[in-house]
Amino acid sequence: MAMIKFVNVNKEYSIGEMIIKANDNLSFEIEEGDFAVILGPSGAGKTTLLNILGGMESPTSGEVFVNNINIAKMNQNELTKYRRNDVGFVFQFYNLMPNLTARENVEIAVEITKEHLDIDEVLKDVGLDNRTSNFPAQLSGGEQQRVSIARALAKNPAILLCDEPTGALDYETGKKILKLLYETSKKHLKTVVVVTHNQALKDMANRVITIKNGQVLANVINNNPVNIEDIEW
Amino acid sequence: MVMKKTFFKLNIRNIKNNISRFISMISIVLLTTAVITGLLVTAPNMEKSMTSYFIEANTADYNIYSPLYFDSNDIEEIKKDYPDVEGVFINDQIAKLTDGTIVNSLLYELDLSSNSINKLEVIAGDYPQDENHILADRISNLKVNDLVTINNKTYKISGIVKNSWYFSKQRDISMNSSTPIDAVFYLNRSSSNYTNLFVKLSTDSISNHFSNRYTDLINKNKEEIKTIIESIMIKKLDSIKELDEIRVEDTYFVFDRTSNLSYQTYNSFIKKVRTITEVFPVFFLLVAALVILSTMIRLIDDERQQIGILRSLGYSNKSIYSKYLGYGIVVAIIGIMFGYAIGFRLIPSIINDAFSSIFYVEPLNLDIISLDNIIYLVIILISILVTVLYAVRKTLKNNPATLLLAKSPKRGKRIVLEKIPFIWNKMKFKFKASFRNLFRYPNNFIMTILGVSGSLALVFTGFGLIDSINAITKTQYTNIYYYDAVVSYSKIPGNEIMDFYEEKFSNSYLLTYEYNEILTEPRTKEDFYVTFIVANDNITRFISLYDRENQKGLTLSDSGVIITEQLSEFYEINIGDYLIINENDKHLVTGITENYINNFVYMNENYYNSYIRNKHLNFNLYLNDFNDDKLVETIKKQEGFKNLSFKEKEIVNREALLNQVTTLAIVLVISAGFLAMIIIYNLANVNISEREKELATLKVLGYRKDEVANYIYREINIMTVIGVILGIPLGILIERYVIYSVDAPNLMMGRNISWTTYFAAILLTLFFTFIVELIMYNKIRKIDMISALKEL
Repeated sequence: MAMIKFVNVNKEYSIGEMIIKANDNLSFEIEEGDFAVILGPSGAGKTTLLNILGGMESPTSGEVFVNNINIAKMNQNELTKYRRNDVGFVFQFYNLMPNLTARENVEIAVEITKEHLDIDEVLKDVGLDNRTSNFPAQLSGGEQQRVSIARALAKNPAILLCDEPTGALDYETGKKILKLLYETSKKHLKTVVVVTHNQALKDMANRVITIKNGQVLANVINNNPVNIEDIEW
Repeated sequence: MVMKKTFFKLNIRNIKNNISRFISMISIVLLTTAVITGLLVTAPNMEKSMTSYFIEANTADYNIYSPLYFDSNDIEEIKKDYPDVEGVFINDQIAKLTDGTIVNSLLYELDLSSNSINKLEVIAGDYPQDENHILADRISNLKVNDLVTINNKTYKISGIVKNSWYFSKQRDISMNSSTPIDAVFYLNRSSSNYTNLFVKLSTDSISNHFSNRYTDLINKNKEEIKTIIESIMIKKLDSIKELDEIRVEDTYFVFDRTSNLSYQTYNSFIKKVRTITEVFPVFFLLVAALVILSTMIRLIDDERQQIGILRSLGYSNKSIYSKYLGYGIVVAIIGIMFGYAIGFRLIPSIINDAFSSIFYVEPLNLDIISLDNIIYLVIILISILVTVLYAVRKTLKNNPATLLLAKSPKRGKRIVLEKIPFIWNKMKFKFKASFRNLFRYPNNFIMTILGVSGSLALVFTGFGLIDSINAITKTQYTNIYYYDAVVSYSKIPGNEIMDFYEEKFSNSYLLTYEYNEILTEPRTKEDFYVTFIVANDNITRFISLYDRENQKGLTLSDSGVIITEQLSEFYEINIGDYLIINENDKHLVTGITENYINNFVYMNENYYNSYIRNKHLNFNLYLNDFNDDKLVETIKKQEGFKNLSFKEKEIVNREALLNQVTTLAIVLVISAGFLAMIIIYNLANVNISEREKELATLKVLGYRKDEVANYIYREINIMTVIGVILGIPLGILIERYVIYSVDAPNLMMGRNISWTTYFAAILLTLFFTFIVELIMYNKIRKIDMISALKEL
């Protein structure tokens, strides 16, 4: 069975009398080891999808299978455990603890994880071994995002989820981050899901899922993904 | 559950980054604990400390008196059931000092070597070595080696003693002569006859002799003791033929400690203190909890994103709870520990000291940590933790995704005020913005107002109490008593005496008849004296008869009496109702006069002759324009002279009496003041932190520092004004309650609140707000435009 499987997933929000349907009958699959890009314009429902997959929200209806377990029916405690051990999340705005150093930001994530990678190794992998004692305020945007990635990777999760990871970064830095993501995920054999509105990135993925108005438009496999360094936009 | 290493590091750093918030929370807990425990511990501590003294001095539980005297056989008889009995011979004496002063005294004759009940403790000098030496009680205010002449024999005072039976500085009243006693002397002389027997039960196991447990035990045994004494008396009457007409009930009197004046007044005052000290702690706790709640909510809001990150990383709700619970526990424990250490020593000491103007107080045992104290501390701790949990719960109801998003700014809404175009259109824009903001944060709004009005109410009550107290002596002795002095006579003054007054005082004297009744106060069942005065209309030149509520002068009538205000309150009677003494004694009320000290019923001679029979009369002569001190000697030598008292001296005594309530009031005002400051500071602090972005934006738009500050100050000021407006009626309510509780029979607290109290309370609150705004200015000045805008 596929690593990740969404089956008829709906997510509705109600504000007063209005009901907003963020995800509308979503169904798709992602295989283990995929570097999948979920594409769609702003408001398409990509972040909602990712939040559900990351165990930070529950769908209104439908099923979500990750590694054959339906997380859509999990209660608070089970979801907490899921987030702890099975998911690594990289946010658009990094979400680092301002009061902890780079190393401590990774430490606080792995302290509660059952099996994790060596912290210093991972920090080295992301190229931050000489910045480990700095606080986020002393790091550039790109460096902060690297910490975020290190934090996610060090947990040794089953899946790595990234929400517009380069959204707050400039062109060059963004490319570097994406390259890092791709290489380390291949090195550690992770299934990666990247959510973005940047069409140019679809060429670097081996699977592209297009979302619009909360619905899946296409789920395309790309057998010849292009090196990110060669992509221009 | 041990906290993980880095998680713990994170928590410590969070505290360090906002150390002022940490400290201000601790200071609230500290102040609250200090005041609460201090107030609650005062009365029990004072009762227990006095009880320790009673136990040490082996103070009597019963005082049995008989004009027929007791002897050692009687004592043996009683000892069969009550082994702890001691007999003394007491009688009234006139003692003369070397400067000629006449002192109404009690003379004890007892065997000092076997004195074991009401143990005398020598506090200066020594025991008498021979028949020419005598001991004086400390209440006599005499010195070692002073000479006193009693019964034409002159003694030298060899020592001053402390007797636990007399610990009030107010003058006791002699049982026999009903005159106030100025001194007590003790002669070392064993006799075979005793006027009084002191009996002690084994009450040492009762740690508080002011408790129901003690009075229940005393009452239980009283009947039995009465029976024993009665049988003794019956035998005595049988053996003396001349006395067979006398009823046995009139030959003995069994009093217990509750009839002892010192015990009674101490008990009564402490009960008053208890009432006041039991009202305020609840208030303090509520206000403090409110402030802690709002501070915790802001703290958690500030860390909302952090909480979101932790939750997204897989930290459980439990770990988040424990994080903030830990913070709460640390704050609580530090605050409680120091607060308790300060409070339970400071406030009881202050109040105990204040009592020393009326009583010979015992030192407080300040190391008492009783179970009650621990319970108060636990209650405070639990209140804090519950508050913390409540604050966390709300946030954790959100899922991690929502927490990560910055909290959506509160929706702006149109407010009710806008629907009143009459007001809204006339408002300047900046006030419109302020009002919109106030309603946008309703919690902060309500809590600030409650905090301010609560503190104002407490300050108001404190000042109001002082008002009431001042009213008593000031009003009573200036506006009610016009006379300078009163002379009392045991029999009607003869013609020469009246001529003397006519000559020396012309119009400024008035003779009245007086008699006393004992009535019972319906609520507390305390007994109190009411003096009935028979006079003519000239009385109004010496004592004002004036209706406080109707603002009218009163005159005596043939058909009824004028009563003092407190009597009308106790028995809920108005003009036209009857004051009922017993079924044979009813008086129609024709007027109610303002009065604070003691209670009186005024009537004219016609009324007296028509309705009153068989009363034991005293005769009092009121004097005005008493300027010549030499007259004092002459008056004291007059036939039937009993006592001469000057109003000026009475004022001094009275003011000392009321010092303790004043002290209490001052303690309240100061604590309430501190509380007010901390509340306003906290809430203002929180207000600013929460809206840094808003204020930074103003700065970017070009608002000057003072304009940005005023943006916030306007809101604080509006809330303060509303708090003050609500606080005044609340303060009046609480003040009323306290006044009614402090009221004692024969002591009515002043009912009017002076305008200076309103003024002072409001001014103080505004002053605190001003100080806080001054402190806040710096914080506002420091808000960095750039960094505040960068953060999302």
